Amino acid sequence: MKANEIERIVSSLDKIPTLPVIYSKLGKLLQSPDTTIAAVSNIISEDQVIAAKVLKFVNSAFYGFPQRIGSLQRAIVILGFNTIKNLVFATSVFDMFRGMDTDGSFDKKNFWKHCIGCAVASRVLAEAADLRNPDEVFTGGLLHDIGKLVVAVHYPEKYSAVINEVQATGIPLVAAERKVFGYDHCQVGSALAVHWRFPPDTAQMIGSHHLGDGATPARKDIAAVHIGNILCMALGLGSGGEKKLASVNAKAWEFIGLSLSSLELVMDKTVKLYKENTEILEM
Amino acid sequence: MRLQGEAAEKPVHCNKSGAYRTFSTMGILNINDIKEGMTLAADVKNKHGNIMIRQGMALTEKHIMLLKAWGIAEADVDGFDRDQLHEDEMKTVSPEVIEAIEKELREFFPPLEGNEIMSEIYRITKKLKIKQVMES
Repeated sequence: MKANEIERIVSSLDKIPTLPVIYSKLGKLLQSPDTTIAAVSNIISEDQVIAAKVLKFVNSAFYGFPQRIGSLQRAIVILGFNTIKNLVFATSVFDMFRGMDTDGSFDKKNFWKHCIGCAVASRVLAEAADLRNPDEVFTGGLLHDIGKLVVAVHYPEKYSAVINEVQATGIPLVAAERKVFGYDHCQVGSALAVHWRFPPDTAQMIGSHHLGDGATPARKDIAAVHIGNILCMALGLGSGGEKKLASVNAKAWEFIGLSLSSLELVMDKTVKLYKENTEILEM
Repeated sequence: MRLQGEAAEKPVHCNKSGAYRTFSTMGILNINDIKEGMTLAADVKNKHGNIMIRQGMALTEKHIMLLKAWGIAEADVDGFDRDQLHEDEMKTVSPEVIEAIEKELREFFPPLEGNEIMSEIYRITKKLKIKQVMES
């Protein structure tokens, strides 16, 4: 995506919220090779709400530790800096989202469920395919449709028209968005990711998750979010506003390297984890 | 969460090497359909090819728990057929309910013909929805 295009989209959106400071502080801290566990734990503890959420998540069925993890320091030792950073990132964005209100036909509650469903499905896929970063894939899945929310907040009437057209005609949401806005939510999402300085991998998962016109995914995590998105829609976990389900991109499926017979276990696990964790995830 | 052994590289129904039979006659069941007392028709291997449980073993509840914990997606058992099992299961739900589920899914799903992945997603989604109805 070109720099001037990003600027055009971001400058057309004037109410973009900011990420909590704790995330950028943590990012800076983790760049240094001499950072200690105590220092990381101290930074996270500065924001008690986020600290509590991180602990809640660590103790959820996603990790399945036999014993309760009671302190941040212990959580960092067990999960490592990168995973903790990802959890802080995900919870920070959650906080940011909550402050955004939408009107009209955009169903924020079901949108939310869809994001969580996609995050869970993408993570289960990433684990099944032995990807090295299931938590990053989780965050990517969680944020894949962030562009929709931000556009819906800024242009509630125009976005309602987009949703209504999709429901009436069955055309893909991205097509309706391009018709009305001249850009789609993937482009907005990746522009925002650059604006917020998200990790580049996350930005790419957000920008490329549709893999339209038989595009080849650049990385396995992108393929996981692409497939996860379709699985959670098929399973009816929330709704992103689409009338028709898109097909899984054959190249993405081949790339991620799972067998067809493992799909049942993946989908089963997705439904289970989604049900068990809605409370934690709706934080 | 991959298949056992060589099947990890290829989908089962393409695999013609000894351990698995062809699609039409096979008894490969998804781990969720495997019940106590079924007998293994082939060795269960993990993704590294190590044998975890030998052929001929009558499975107990504990075995099934372990298979799930090891992330094994399916196993080959004697005398069972996935399609047959699925049909038996469907008989316990009224045809109207199944019809309604099918109608809803068909309207939402893209055309399935020639699309192996989406057909499988459709099959599993339908199965899960029927299960949901049975449970509620």
